[in-house]
Amino acid sequence: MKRTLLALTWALLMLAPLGLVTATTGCKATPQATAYKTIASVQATVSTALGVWADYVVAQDVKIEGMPPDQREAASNELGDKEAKARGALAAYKIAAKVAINSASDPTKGLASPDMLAEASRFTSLIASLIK
Amino acid sequence: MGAAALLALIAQYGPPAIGLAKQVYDFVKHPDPSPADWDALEKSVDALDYNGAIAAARLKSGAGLS
Repeated sequence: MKRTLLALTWALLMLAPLGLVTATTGCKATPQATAYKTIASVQATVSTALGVWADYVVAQDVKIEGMPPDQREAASNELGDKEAKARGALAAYKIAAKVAINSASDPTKGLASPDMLAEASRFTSLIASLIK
Repeated sequence: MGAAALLALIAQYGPPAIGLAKQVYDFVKHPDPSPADWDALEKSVDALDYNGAIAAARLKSGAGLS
């Protein structure tokens, strides 16, 4: 599971420069098309990471249910703390993604979406570290 | 990053990498995005629901079902 997340993080880091390269070389993508494809790729990465995280949470829930009663509360609290972090990072990503989409879809606005890339990277990195 | 690198990614990491490989393929092939494309992209962000993802994973695993 962690290897999958590392692959996703790797892909995220690779896709952003790819967008810049495509925009500045022989590929005839407009800046808007490049922004769209970059955002879509990042979005797919975050969506996959969320699925991996959800699988982990469910597996941990099952594990906690099988624990002795005196250990359950601490384990449950720990998982709850992790979930709060993941939930917060996802919310931050969603806000950044919406701003990036609104900006990129409007030709009169800027096309940069560094905040979205940063938040997506933060989310996938956080998930990878929490799953350890 | 060439096709060989994408294939290696798929071979190593399986289904999640297939989705990413498709995104990269689309990255090159798709024409300019239409307003409907942007709308669909925005809706895909809205659809990223934490509780929904957990519920879907629970359903997939059979956990919590009796």
